[in-house]
Amino acid sequence: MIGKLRGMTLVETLIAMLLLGTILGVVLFGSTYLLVWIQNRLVNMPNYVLGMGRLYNAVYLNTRDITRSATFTLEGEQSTTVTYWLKESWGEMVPTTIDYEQLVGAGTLGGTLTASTNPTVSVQRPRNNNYLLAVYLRIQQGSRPFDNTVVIKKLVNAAPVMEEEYRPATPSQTMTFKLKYPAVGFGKKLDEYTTDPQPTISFTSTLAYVPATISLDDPESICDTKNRCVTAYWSLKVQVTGTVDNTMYVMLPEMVGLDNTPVPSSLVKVGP
Amino acid sequence: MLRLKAKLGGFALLMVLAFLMILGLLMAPLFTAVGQISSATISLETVPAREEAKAAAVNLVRFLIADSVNSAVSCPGGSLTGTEIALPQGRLNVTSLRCYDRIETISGDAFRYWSFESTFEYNLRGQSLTYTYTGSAVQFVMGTNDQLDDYVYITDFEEGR
Repeated sequence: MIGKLRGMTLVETLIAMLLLGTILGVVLFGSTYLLVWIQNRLVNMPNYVLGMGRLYNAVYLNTRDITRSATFTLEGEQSTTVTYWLKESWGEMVPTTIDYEQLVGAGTLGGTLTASTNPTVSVQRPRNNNYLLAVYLRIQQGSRPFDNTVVIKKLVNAAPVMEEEYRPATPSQTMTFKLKYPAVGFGKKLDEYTTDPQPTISFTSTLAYVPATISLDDPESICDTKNRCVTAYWSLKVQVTGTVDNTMYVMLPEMVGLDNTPVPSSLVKVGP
Repeated sequence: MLRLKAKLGGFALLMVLAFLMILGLLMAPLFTAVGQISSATISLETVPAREEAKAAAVNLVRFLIADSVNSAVSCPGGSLTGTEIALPQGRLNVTSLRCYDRIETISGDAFRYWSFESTFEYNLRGQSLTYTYTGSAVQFVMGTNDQLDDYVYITDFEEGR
């Protein structure tokens, strides 16, 4: 009886040890997994925070100006360099070029953003959209990637509408209207990817009130860093071919602005 | 015997202190990480909220200008004040919207020129921040029955504190 009991105790001891071994194994592997999981995130977190901080500061500093810019362009599909133009005064567009990779520090890899962190920045503009720009940042260390996006929205429309204070009070044979933003040409909205954005700069008004030749004047060549240029015109010249009267209406054609903003055709009163 | 007990008590205290110190050392990076995460969260929260508020201000101004006939704003000289809307991130108020010039056509206006001022009151964890947006807009009057068909171009936009 005692022998049997002793045998049982041995079996129980073995089972208990097996159970203990299993539990210890689970604890060991479980805790290792948990520690690796935590380490994976904790070690990368400062890099992520630093990178995102830089991205937000860099993007936000320049967003203010891109928001109110006349237009902007991305150097190429894989490029992180953006050039934007701000209207300084009438007839003067000031370009500014920024490289987001350099601003965020992914190019220079300073501080804790080391080569092993593998930070990448990419900038994208949705096709046929002149108002949105998305800046992506990705930081990867080991198998743990972190990414985030900053979306920049341009709020100003570079519409080639007449400047209010330059309306001539007395109509003459030739009148010049200054435009708030330069026009790239006459016509409907252009598809910049398929059409050369430089249609004819002369339009003949066939309206019965005033036959007139309308043309664009005061050209400015606006070029990006790769020397891709577009000619934009800061004023609208109306040359009346019919009789000049005190009260006149001129048919203005459709015009397209630098950022592809269309201005429909309009009939405006000039003179008193 | 009593001395031995006192010695053992001192040893236990030392052990507890050592344990607390090790625990503290383990917790320090965790605290740092949590602190950084929370500061990053604030900046991640602030910037998009402000950018969205700017876009919302522009949209509100566009609507008010397009709807100016219904709100009986005469042009030039007329103005509209005190339109306030609530956004999830704060309150947006168009404090001033003024039509200062126009270009006529045969019947009515072809273009109307507007200036606007808007404030955004951002409530960030109990702290109130106010941003001011100023700018100008040009309304292209289409002459249709529905005023909302008009084009409204935002021609200038500035942000201030």
